[in-house]
Amino acid sequence: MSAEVKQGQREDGRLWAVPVIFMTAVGLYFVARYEGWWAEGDSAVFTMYIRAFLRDGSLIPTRGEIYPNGYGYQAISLFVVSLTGLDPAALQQLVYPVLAALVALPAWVLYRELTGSARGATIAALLLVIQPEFLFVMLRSSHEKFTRTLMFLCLYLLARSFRTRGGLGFVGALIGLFYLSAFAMVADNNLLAHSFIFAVAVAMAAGWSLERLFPHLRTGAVQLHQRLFHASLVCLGLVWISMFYVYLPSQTDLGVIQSIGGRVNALVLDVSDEATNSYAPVAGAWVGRYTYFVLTAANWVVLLSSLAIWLRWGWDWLRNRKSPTTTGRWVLWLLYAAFALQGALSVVADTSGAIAANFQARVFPSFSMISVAMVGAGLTDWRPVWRGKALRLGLSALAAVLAVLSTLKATDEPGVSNWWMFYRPYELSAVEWADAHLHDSNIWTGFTGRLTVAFTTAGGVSANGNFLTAFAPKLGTGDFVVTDATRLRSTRTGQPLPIDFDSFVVFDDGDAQLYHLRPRTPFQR
Amino acid sequence: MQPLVVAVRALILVLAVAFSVSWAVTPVQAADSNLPDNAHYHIRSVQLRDLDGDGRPDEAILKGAFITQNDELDIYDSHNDLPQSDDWRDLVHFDHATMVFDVGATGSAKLIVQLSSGQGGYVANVYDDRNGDGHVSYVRSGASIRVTETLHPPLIVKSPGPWLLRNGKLQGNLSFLVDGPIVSQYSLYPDAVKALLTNDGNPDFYYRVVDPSDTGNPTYAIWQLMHSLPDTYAVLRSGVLGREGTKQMSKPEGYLFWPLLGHSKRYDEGDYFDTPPTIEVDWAKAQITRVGLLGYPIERGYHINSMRPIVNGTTNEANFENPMAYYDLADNHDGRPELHIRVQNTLADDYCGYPETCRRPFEDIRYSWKQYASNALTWDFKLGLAGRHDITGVVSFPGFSIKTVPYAELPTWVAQNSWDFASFVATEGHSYNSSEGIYEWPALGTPEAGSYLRGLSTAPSVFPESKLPMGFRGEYTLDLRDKPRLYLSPIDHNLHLLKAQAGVWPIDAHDTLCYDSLGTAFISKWSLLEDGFERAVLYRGGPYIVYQGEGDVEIRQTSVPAAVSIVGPPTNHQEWLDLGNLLARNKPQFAPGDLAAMARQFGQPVLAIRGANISGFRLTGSGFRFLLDLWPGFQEQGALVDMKGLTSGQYIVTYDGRWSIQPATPPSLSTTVVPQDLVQFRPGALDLTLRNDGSEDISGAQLVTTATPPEGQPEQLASVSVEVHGRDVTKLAIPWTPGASGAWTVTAELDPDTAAPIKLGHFDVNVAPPGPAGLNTVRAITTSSWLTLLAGLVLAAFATVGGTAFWQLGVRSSTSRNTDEDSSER
Repeated sequence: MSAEVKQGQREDGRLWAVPVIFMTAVGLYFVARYEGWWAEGDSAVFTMYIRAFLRDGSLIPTRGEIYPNGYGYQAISLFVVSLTGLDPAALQQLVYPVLAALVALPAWVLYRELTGSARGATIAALLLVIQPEFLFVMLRSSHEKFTRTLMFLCLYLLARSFRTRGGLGFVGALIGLFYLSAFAMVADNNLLAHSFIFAVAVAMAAGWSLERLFPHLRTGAVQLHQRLFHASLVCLGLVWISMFYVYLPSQTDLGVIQSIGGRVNALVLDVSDEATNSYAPVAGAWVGRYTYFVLTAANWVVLLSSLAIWLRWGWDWLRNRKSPTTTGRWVLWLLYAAFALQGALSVVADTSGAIAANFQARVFPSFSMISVAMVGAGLTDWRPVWRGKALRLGLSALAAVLAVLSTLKATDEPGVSNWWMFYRPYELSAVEWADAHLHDSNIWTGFTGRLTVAFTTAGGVSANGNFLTAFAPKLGTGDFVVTDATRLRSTRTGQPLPIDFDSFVVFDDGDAQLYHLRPRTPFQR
Repeated sequence: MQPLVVAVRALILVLAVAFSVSWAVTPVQAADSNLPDNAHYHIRSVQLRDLDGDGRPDEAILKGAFITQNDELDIYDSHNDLPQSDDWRDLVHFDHATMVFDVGATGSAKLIVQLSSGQGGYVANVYDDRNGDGHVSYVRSGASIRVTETLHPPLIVKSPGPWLLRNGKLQGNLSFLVDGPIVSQYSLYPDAVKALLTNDGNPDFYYRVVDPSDTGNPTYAIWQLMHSLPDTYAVLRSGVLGREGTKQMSKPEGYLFWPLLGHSKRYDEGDYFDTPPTIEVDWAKAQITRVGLLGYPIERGYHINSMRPIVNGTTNEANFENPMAYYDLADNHDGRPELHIRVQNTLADDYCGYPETCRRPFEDIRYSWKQYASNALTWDFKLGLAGRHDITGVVSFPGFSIKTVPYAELPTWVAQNSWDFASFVATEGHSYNSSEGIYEWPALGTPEAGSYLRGLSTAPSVFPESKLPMGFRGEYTLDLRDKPRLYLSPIDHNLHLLKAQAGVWPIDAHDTLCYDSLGTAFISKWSLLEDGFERAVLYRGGPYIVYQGEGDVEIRQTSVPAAVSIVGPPTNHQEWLDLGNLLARNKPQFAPGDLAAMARQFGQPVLAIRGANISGFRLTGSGFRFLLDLWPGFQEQGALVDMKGLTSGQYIVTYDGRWSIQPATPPSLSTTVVPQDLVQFRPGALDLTLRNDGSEDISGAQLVTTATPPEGQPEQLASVSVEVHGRDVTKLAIPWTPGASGAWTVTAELDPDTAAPIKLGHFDVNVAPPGPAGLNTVRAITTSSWLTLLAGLVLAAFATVGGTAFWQLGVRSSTSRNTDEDSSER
């Protein structure tokens, strides 16, 4: 091996730092943009789960809310909180967004394995972290931060083991680590793990079938299909062991889904009947008609280009009878097909209108994880003969622009979005004041659940039996927290404030008020 | 793949599919016949068999007519101590035996009871048909019977001592554990819950009768759904039945060998706690249908049915029916209660539409009593009450307690508490049979009423007057806020609800008598409708009775008080007697709806006008007024009002301590509109003043206000019913949140949908725009300046990192070196 090549390898070996630095910068931006005052639905309930864990010190707390689908995230958070003395809210709002950068490491090694190139891996990892849907689930503080990381690790260990012709010890270590990671993923979220296993099984089945139809596709990898088959089967076993023996609450969600179809959807596709994701695009969520499409441009660019590359490879391998250059690329091609199929089935399975939320939040990030590797590999291979420098410059500028747009989208930038994650301390104070001075009341906090999740993140539950509401005021709501941000949103979206002209102002700090509706009947007093 | 592996996988798949299909298509067999139920029995023959060849009998076969004409009971005794006797009474014992009931002598079991005893007491495992084939499967080995119908007994009964006491009564301390669907308990639940109640070895229901005296006279029973369900399932989970008084429980009668197999039909004829607990079996289907105390209701006692579980060692909150109580007001011990109180209570944290809770507790009460003698379970009056109270009383039982109103205090608790809504129903001319009082016209008769009571809506619900059937007289108020009181009217001599707002009495298919209090505590207007048309009206105003017939107006003077007597609902024997005497002394002497006769009881009119009509009668602060329409050729008699020189036409007649009559002038309205803080998207109002310069009232007119924006379609702001009295002013505030800024035009109109709408005018109002909403405002609200700058710098930095990385790593020209050559397939 020449010195030049060795130097190249050393440089390539340091490329992993690029996506890590990039992701760290995004995390820092997110925290700085709102001074740490941000809250979001899933992150808020996970703060609640962590508090219950902390209070009870057990896997299944006897008091407070229990996350039915897993305990991994809470357990890790409890460990960090106990070690550092951080408040769970601080961990969730300040630390975890920056820690999201950790995902770039297993992603990079996986992509290097799949694309067969450190350069391709770096490009793929950069593309991954400018995917707005993926970026969103990584920045917020829910189990996905770790589930996705573990998903990358599992895929890497699996893909790495296919290529290994080394001793039994090394293979055994890879396989052992794979199942350990898989169990950790199950512990994090059994439904997401289930759908991941389904995708791997589909990839295995597709590979097995195609290699029988087209023997030239056999890449010589060691027992590819047997290992995929066993991996799927054992992982499935791990999920069921977790559900029925380790963490019984995970049966709850399946138990309440009455139909067989619903259970299959939940298990295979990780799509539920409920549309509760706060990231769901809602009417009037963006300031302009085309804002959403501009901000999600990175999705479409990667989606279309990865599809083109996948088709091109498929054409070469199936039509022109060429063989895949590496096992990694063959596995990548199969996984792409499997995750794409999962996405397609999710759309077909949906009958409730909930798909928009679920697709974005669950299936699309999974698909993104694979599709960016296709694009990374494709770009690595591409050797344009015409205006190479101009193309390079153009693509670099495009990447920079997409990075900014995706970050604005993933952080629900108020300049372009009407669906906000930020809140201000005085807004939270107003809600807390209302909760402290009212009892058994419905308290409206805004047009979105922004302040209710902020309240949950900061403290948890009402001490006086109050019920914090948002969106359209519920019947019987008599108390309304209205802040300057609420007024701003009212003006921008054209939603009238839902209070009466003669409501009593019972709290006013200049920026936030608590209104109490004037009783109209003897029974509203 | 190895052929063996493929074969094994295929076999697993085939077995799984076969299992699923066979499970899905297993038929449920129909019952084989309609056998008579629990007929008295006699024994035709007794046969003993030695099954193990030791020379001692192990099996007794009793043949006879127990249920059908040809039945068989096989008694197996594995303890080898069956006596050599041909008297069946010697052979039937309950210490250790298996009783196989072969009803119809078909050679198959309809019920198997395995009895045993030991240190812990007596236990019976009772098996019925579980798979729908009409019999209970079992296998015999020597004198041992092993039931193969199911692994788990569907019913286990436990007793601390012998099943029968020395006094011949059934053991009073019994526990029943039900595992799987038993018809009576099962029917309480929706399909989603039924699916969970399976015969799986985990009991689903628990039923226990408790007799602290150990004399065979249980004082209470408790039942519990043992299957854990999500809190959001609104189903009954527990209950308590309590006996009051000294009535004794009877001995078991007509039972089929084992005293728990009692004569359920005979038991049903009595009250709960009259007869001992039993196990009812549908012998045709070979299924247990009911377990526990039979008979309903009770003369003195109560029960609680709650959606919340009862937990031992705690004070439990109970909702739904807490309690349902029965009282022997007549003190006649005839087995029929004279007072029934049903408290349907909802607790503060009960779900009232997921995920919201009710926020405040509330009760819907039915207080029905029988006033007139009858041998049947009938009711004559009912008070419906609704209110918002915390039930704080506690009744203790051994091991647990329940928050409820104690039995002895309940009637007074109802009568002395203040309630928000009330209804009153009297049965008229017929007897009303029911085990749970009078159902008609509950105080919370509609979901809207519940919303209004809980403060969730501002519109008082319309009481469903039209739903009161013939033969009932009803009154109601949605604004009682007082103790419930009744009064006897000296005008119609009927019992009425004090503070009732209105009422109705559908007398027959044509005539309906309507009541109105005209804003007072007493009924002040009686109007008779014939097929929906008003035929006669009677008003009580101050010391006068004003009667309006067809073309006749009569005014009489009276000094009778508004009520002969004001009483509470009867809570004890004495009050019940007193009310009965009051009613007996004041029976009406005229037919229902005969308003003319009702008026005549007050003597000759002080003013009678033939050829006149009155309308718009209303009470004023010091008297009343109405519009008098004198027809051409009218004739008056009496000197109450100076009518000399009056010609036909309309007049306003006023009584405010003295009478006056003035020519009526039609309503003449003028309107002003003043805007209040009108800003786009912000709540504001229009202050609207209506002034009536005429002497005639405007009543029940619909005022519609509409606003037209600078650009766009008009929008209706409000449609409200208004009342503008003659020579008076009415002020209204119309709430309005304008959707656009600029100059709007507001239009007000009365009764726009009628043939004679009244336009009140157009008014120009200006709506200001809201505050700024640009990026500067966003920045100012979301973060501080220096952090905005920092965040912007970070954003620019990582955009640069991304761009640079792509520049360095991205597309290479066809001539550039590929440094990845050695990184693949290492």
